[in-house]
Amino acid sequence: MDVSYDWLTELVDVPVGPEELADKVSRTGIEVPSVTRRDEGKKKIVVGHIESIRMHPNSDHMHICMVDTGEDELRQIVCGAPNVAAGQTVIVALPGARIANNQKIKRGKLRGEVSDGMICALQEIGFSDSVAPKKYADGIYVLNEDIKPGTDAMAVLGMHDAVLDFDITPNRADALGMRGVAWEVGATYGNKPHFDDQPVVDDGQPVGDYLQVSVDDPDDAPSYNLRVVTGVHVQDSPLWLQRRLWNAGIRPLNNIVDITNYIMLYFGQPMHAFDYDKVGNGTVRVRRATDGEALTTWTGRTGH
Amino acid sequence: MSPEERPQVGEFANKVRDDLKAAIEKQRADIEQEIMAHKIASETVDVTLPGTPVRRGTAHVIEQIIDDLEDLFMGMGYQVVDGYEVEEDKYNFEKLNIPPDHPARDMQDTFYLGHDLLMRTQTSAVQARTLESHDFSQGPLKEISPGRVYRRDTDDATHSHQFHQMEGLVVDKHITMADLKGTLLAMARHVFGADREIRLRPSYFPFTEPSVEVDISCFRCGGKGCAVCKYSGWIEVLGAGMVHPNVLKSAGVDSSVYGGFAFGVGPDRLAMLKYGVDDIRSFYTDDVRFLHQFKTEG
Ligand SMILES: [Zn+2]
Repeated sequence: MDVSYDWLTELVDVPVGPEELADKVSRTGIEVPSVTRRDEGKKKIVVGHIESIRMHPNSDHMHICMVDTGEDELRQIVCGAPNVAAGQTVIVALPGARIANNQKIKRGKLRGEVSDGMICALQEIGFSDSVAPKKYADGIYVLNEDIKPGTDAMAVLGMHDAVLDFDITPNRADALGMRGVAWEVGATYGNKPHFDDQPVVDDGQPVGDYLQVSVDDPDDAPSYNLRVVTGVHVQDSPLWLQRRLWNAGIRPLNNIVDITNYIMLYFGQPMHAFDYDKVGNGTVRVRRATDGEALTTWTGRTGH
Repeated sequence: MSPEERPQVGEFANKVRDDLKAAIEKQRADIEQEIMAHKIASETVDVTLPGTPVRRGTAHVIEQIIDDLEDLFMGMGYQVVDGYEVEEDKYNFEKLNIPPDHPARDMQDTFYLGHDLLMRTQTSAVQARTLESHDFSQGPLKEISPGRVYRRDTDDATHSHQFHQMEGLVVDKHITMADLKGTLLAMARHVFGADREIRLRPSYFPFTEPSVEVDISCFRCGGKGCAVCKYSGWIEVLGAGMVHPNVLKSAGVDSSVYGGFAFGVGPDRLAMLKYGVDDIRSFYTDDVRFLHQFKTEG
């Protein structure tokens, strides 16, 4: 379990830094073999705003972007990503920056045009493919919030956070969620966790008006709970949520999938969201697969 | 031929025969003598020359580690017990408090040989057998069982699908964790030097409760921090714990009267640490140049 130090310290008072905490927890309950930070070895990576964009005269795919990086003058940067566009808030590695694989960024010319920095994909600044959102897989990452140009992008992306690798043994399923980890760490230092639990806002209409559930064998599913959420707009999650997920090793997808993963990380309880319009006859049936039954998952994979 | 001539001819014939025989005998003797002379000439031994070397093998380094541990524990009154490399599921898992759907089965990828047979994944399988057969009226059970174990792992520098373990088990009345710690400290000092310390960290094995991982203070830097101990001052060497009451119960031992400790140590890991070997596969690929570095005297 990847435990974000930033998130943990919101849930419980931790009197020591990440490394000391890792050592203490290893000696008292759960082995923490490593503490990692994504910003290690990286520098001069800021938030930029693309003010204008034009085609590169000597290239069929590159663009010349005028980027506000919080300085007096706009910065000209050549970018080859297919998804680059004016108005975007993006990640910029300034000249002198160090990005992933210890690569150094220098002012230079690309096919005769000055490029004073680099607009980056998450992978280029140290995110693994397994957590970088697929939506931006073929291009640069676009921030979906208006952030002041020149701001430290590593802070915005949660890269300064220390991630503790909690090596959970089969007897410690209680620590497969942040609340459980907060109790564990709290017990270690004699501090009670404080959870900011939000009240449920309910319009009073029973779920039964929308959906029925039938469970074939109550031994398999002693409890099966549903709630209906209406007025949903599927879109990218806010940055704070994406940050939480990728620092926990989970790839953000959209606000619906992300919130179920977030709840799982928080409570340790896996859950799933269904598209109400696609639940055919309004009944969710819980049963075991029949022999040889094929199943197609929502990602389109078929398995037995 | 007339009767008068017969004796004369007979006498002559006899003489010819005797002459021929004598001549043949002489020739044979001459030839044999010549052969002998030739042989002696050609097989002269010069006793001052060095002899032809006889190539001698040596005990495998893992065997040396195991022999050394056996000597140590036999000196403390333990018996050495052999087990089966092909083992029944119940001894490898079920009687060790790991029922069929237990999540701990995921901790060890197993080679199954049909439904109930498998290649043992741990020498702990011997525990369950000796616990069943031991007569506690004859005294405590103190055993070690070294041997090969198997995991369905992809071989790399730190994993081998076949490696070694040595299980240790003590069951009696009034066995405490202090006994475990003292025993492990004695082993650590025997293998890695008299000034070693050990520390226990909480961990989990299904067949012990509580369970611990055991670290030794770094023998290279003495605890200050170096590459061997990854700058922590401590090196993880083995797992141990107090025998789980369920293990005693499933062997028919009264867990309200008897208790004990168990530990499992990896001779491969000990050898790697002790001799600075960084690839476990070196032990199993039969490179004589590698193996002869660990040649014993005599
Ligand atoms: Zn050291």
